[in-house]
Order: sequence, then structure tokens, then C-alpha cells
Amino acid sequence: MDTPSRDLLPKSVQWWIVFLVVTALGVYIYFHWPLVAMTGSAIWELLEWVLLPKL
Amino acid sequence: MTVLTPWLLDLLLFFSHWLWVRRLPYPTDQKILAVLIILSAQKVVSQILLGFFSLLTADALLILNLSIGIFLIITCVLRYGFRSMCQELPGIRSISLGSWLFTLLIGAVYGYILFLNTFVPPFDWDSLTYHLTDVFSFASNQSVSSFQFPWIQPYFPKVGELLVSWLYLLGGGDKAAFLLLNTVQLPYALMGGVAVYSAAKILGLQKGAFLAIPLYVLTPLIMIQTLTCMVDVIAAAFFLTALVFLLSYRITNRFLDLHFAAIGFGLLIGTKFTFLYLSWPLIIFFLLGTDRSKIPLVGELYRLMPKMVTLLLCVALGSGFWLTRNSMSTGNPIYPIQLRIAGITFFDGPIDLKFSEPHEQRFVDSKWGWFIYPFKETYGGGPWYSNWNGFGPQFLVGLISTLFALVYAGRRKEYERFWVFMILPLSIVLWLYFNPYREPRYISAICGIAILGFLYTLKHLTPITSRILKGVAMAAMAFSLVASAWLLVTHETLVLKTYLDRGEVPLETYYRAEFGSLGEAFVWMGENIRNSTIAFTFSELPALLYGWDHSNKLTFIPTTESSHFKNLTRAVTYKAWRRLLFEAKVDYIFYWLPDFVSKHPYPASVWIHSYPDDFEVVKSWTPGIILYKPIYTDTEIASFLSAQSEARVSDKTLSFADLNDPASWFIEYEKESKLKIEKSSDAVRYSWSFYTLENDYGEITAGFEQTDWSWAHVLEFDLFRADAADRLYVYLKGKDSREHERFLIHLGQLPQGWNRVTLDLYVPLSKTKKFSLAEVETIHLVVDDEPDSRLGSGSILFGNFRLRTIDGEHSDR
Repeated sequence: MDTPSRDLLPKSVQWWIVFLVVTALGVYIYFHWPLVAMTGSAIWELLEWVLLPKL
Repeated sequence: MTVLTPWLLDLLLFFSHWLWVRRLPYPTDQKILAVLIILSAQKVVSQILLGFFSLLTADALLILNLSIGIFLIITCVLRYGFRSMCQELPGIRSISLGSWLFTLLIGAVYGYILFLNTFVPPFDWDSLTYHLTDVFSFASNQSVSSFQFPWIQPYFPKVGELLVSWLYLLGGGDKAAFLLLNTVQLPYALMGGVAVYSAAKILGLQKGAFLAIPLYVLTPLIMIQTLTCMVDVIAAAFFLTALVFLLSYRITNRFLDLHFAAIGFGLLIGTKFTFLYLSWPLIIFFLLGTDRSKIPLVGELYRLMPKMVTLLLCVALGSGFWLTRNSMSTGNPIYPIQLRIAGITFFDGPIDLKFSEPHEQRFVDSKWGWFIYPFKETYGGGPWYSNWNGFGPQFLVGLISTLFALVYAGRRKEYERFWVFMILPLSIVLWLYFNPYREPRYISAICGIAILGFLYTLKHLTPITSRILKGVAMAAMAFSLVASAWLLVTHETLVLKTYLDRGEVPLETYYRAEFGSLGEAFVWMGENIRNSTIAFTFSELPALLYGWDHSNKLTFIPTTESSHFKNLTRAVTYKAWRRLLFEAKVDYIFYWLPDFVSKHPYPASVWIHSYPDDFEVVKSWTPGIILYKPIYTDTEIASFLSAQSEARVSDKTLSFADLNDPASWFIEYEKESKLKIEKSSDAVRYSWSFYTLENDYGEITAGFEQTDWSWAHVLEFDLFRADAADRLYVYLKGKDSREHERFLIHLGQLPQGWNRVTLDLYVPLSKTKKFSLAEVETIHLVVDDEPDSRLGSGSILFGNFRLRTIDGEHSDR
């Protein structure tokens, strides 16, 4: 659904929002990367446990 | 009854309500919410009604609700004809490819959560400590009387517990039903998502609205808590649904919408009393969320006056019973919360809403840490999601968007939107200001508001920036999913490995992993002890002692640890504890002394070890986890049965010989000090050491069998002072430990050797207003370093406590 142009935020504000949100997400991911690593190693452990006996 | 019965009944009731609700002037999503809110109210009210008459059994519950469902279907057929039943089921219309993909994703994720649910029994502290003790208490007593947990929980509202009870009772009330209790929050996670989607549509935020449901239901906290019997996901769903109908009312001005909002609001209060203040943003939205220059508030309230009775009735459906129950039992509808405004106490209670620092410090170092918390989401020092926290990156994205949305909507005087977005900061402020436990889970509904803020911002972007932001939201969602995938339940790897290995996950495997030997003990108790009365000595995690078929009775006899709760009968002496065990017809004592309290064993633990001949060991798991059977001698039984065990005051004196026994005394508090209580001849040696330059002190406590001291004038005791020169405070306290009088003895001013100390009960150093000599339960000896910077040790001997009138006999040592 198109928004009438008069309702759009000024371009500079839009890009500021994009900048802030992308930066915030980047910072968040940086802080929380250990959780992703934990998921990865847990899945790997499970796969090893399942696959190794079959190899 | 099978575990599927409650779900099949849910489906039938959903259908029967749908037949009527579909005729209401709402879009499909709002109709679904309306049905779910009515269905929740029906589950709660039907159980309260049956419980009120002590008829809360599975059969009665099934018959009552089945009758309601059949009645709704028959009346609908009679009124609109049979063919109308087949029309307009909540259907699939023109759904976009993106929506399909998200539906599949949500289906896969929640399918996995359901899969885990079937193997993972209730394991979290809240559920096993008080949510499920209530559920089993309901089942056992066929009423909705709360389990007498020795803290504030019996006074909480119990909507969440009744929703669990629905699953337990109708599911067969056995081990199989117990295993599936964690599924209680699952529909409410989805209901919250639908509510966010509905709110977005009502606010005119169609652009990107398909993201609303996945962004909400894939929030880490929502996914993780959906695997417990906690109630925050349920509360968030009621909060957001109430908001949807308030918004709808703002647009349509229909009373009907307001009534649905009122039902949601009542259920919200009935789920958690914290929403007595955390729901203010909803009320503020109602008051301010429109152009008041066009619709004056007074005029609107005047218009609502004729509907006030029905609106209040709708609110009362979910909350009325609990508020009335508390009013009748304590005189305070919101007990245990104390309401004081401008120095005037409107409602008295033991909790004055002081926040708990240890709870906060699990998440942040200080309250200022909350400002950057959405970036870090730490728990226990590192990034972590749990049952208590985990709003995920989508909340952070939504939070930043909402700040812009607030400014933009405010400048454009879009009142409805502005005050919806204001719910987010208002909730945070109220939570920071009022919540005793600053855990993010209490305000998980703001995850939905942040999504609305995000969609509003999206609406005001060009296609390019909009696409970038949608991409960011999807990336955030994907990150949430991956980061929380292995935190959904504790021991997830073990659960999966065991399942892959054996095709099942035995209960004991999970509980052993979660609680160690305690888990083994719980499972053994569940399997082996039936139709017995069990007293437990440590007040945490007792739900499993009911046994799988809830045939056991459970009792906790409070000792000194529950002194804030004046309506509980507590035992402050060994004799009183034994008598209460006997009166409660206790067959077994489940003794558990967790490591974290073993430094200062609680009274019952000290008593059991001091009088080993009075207890038979039935089974022992570790030295700290033992099942005992109390042994009573004929003499003891005779004394319990006769009135002779009561205090007898003779010759205007009363001796407390028990207090010469160190087993009667407990270390209550050590502030930068180390205390010791030992036996010394026929007296008690009380030693201490202070090890900081600050104000160090320590406190020991003992109880009295005879609590009416109104006849007495002085309390005296012998005190041997060697070289200690510290201050010794003597506190006398009533049932409510805040009420006391205290005396001060400067040990340095006493001659060395034995002294007879005489305290005039009518001339204390200080006394609280409500303290009464007619009710003296405990004595507290507090040593305080003199001067405050003193380091070092000291000790005294004391004994021979005696109460007498001013003219009573005096016996010197």
C-alpha cells in the first residue's frame, strides 16, 4: 500500500532511522554472538553424536 | 479423559462461540480474539463457580462446559438454521506468499516447541513452587482454595493457574496430564501475535503488517516461556487484546468493543496483580487516546454511565473473585500489596513495594544499566535469554522506531497512535518505579507495542528505506530464532539425544539433570507415596510431592521464616512444631536442606538433627534430602490430646527452660560478622567476630511456646560476660515481625562474671505502635560492634530466662 508523499518522513530522517536501526542491530548481534555460537556448537555436537556411530 | 480431552473441548467451545461471534461486525482476526477472550473467561469462571461449591472435578467441569458449548450450537441452529453453521469458518482468503512462508516458519518453530513440550515436564521454579501447588491443591480439594505457601503467593490472583488446572483436570489428572501442562501458554503466544496484527490493522498500519505476528511470536522470551507454566505470556496476550478492543472502540465508538476490552482487562488483573499498576497505560490510552477537544472526557464518561454496571461485571469476570477473596480474608483486596499515598495507608499489607536489588542485579549492575539493556540483554553477567528476559533484537529495532513514531504521531496530532506508542515508555517507567522485581518478563506486552511503532515508521518510509527496514526486521527475527534455539529449555541437547536414543525422555532423566538428587527424590516420591500427608521443610519446589495423581496432602508448617504473614500459624519452638505436625496428621516429612542455606539451617532442620530419636529415616538420597516419618511416644500423644501442653503460669512466674538449649536458637542474620551458638554446661554460649570497619552486627533468634505476656512485668535472664564490650540489643517480636519492642544492654558496663539482667517490659528502649505483650512470639539477641569500627571477637553465656510480675519470686544463680 503506497503512502501519500505528504505523509512520508523527510528523506534525511528516513536515512537516519535506517542508520540507527542497522547500527543498533549490528551492536546487538555483536553482543549476542556467543548465543549463536552456542547454538552452532550444540547442533554440531548433536550431529556428531548421531552421525559418528553410522560412519 | 485423555490428555487430548481439554484440547478437543477447546476446539468445540471455540467453534460454538465462533458461531455467534462471527456475526459481530469485526474482521476475522478480531473475531478470533473475541472468541479467545470469551473462551478464557469461560474456563476461569466455570472453575471458580464449581470450586466455590467444592465441586471442581473433571467430570463436573467437562459436563458444564460441554453443556455450554452444545447450548450455543443448538441455539444458533434454531435461530439461523443448520446451513449457517458451515458458513464463514475462520478461513484462508487471499494470503500473500510472504504470509504463507511466515505461517510455515511459525508452524515449524511452534511445532518444535510443542514437540519439546511433550518431553519436558514442568521444571521452572515458579511453576513447581507455587503455580502447580495451587493447581494440585484445586484438584485435591475440588475448590479454588490456594495452597498455603508460606509467603505472598496464596494471595495472588489465579487465572493462570485455572488455565493450567483446565489442562490437568480434563487431561485426566495423572502423570500424562502433568507432562503436558507446559502447553498452557502456547495458544496465548499466538493470541498475542494476532492481537499485535489486529492493532496494526486498526491503526491503519497495513504496510508490513504481515510481519507483526512472526515478530511477536518469535521473540525469545515468548518462545522460551511458552515451555513453562508461568503466566507472563498469558498476561501479555490479555493486555494486547484489551488494547485491540480499546482501539476498536476509539474508532467505532461501539459499547460492544468496550465490553470485550473490559473482559480482557479483568483477565489481565486476574492473572497478575502487578497489572494493577502496569495496566495504567491502557487506562491512560482510554482517557487521552482521542482528540479531547472534539470528544470531551466528561461527555464520554457521562455517555458510558448507563453501561458502567455491565462493564464492571465484565472486568469482574476475571478479577472479581480474587479481589473479594483477599478483602474477606485480609481486609485488603490487593493483599499483599500495601497502598500508601501521602502518608495515609489505604490498604495494609506486608509488602510495601520496595524493589528487590538481588533480582535486578541478575540483569544489570544498577538501575542505570536498564538504559542500555535492550542492546545487551544480559542475565548473570553475559548475554542470555531465559524465562525472565529476552525481548530480542526485534524489540530494539521497534524501540528505536517507536521513538520516531512518538515524535511524528505527536506532531501530527494522531492521538490514538501517539497514546498507543506511549504505552511503551509508560510501561517501562511504571515497571521501574513500582515493580518489586525488575524482571523484563513483567512488561513483555511492550514487545507488541514496539512492533506497532516499527510498522508506523515503515508506513512513512519510501519504498527503498522501507525495504531496508523490513530486511532489518527479518534479520532480527532470524537472529532471535538462531540465538534462542538452544535456550528453549534447559538440557535441550540431553532431551534430544535421549529422545533419538530411546524414543522417549523418561521423567527421571530430565529431573535428575535439572535438580540432581532432588530430582530423583521428587520422582521417587511421585511414584511411591500415595494417599499420605507430607510436610515439607523447605518451601521451594514442593509441587511434585503431591504425587502424579494428587492423592497426597501437602502441608508446610511455617517457622521463623514467614514472620511477615500474621494469618499463618507458625511454630517457633520444637514442641509447637511437633504438635502442629501431629495435628496435621503428617505421615512423612520431606526434608531438604539446599546447599545455599546449609550455612544457616532453618529451624526444622536444626530440630530434626537435635532430636534424631523422634524421626525414622524412610529413605535418604543425600544428607540434605531425606524422607522421615515422625515417631510419637504415647506420652507425647497424650500431651497433645490433653490441654496440659498449654502453658501454665504459676506463682506469677514463668521459666523458659527450653532457651537453655542451643537447639532452640537460630542464627537469623550475620552482617559482616560470624556468629556461633554452642552448649556450655546448662547455658548457651553466643560467640561472634566482626570483620569490617563498618557497622557489623549479628542476630540470633528463639521462640516462645507461651505468647501471652500481658500479665508479666519483667523478663530476666542470667548473662555471663567475660571481656565482650559490645552492644547487645534484645528484641521481643510478635507474629508480625515488624512489631517489636527492644532493649539495649551495654556489655562493657556489666561486671565480669555472671549477672542477672532484668528488663522492664514496660520501659523499653523503643517500641512500635502495634506491639502488644499479649502476643510475644520470638526473642532476638542482636550483637552490635562497639565502636562500629571494631574488629575482633567476643562471647557471652546466657540462660535461665524467666518472666515474672514485679513482685514475683527471684532466684539467683
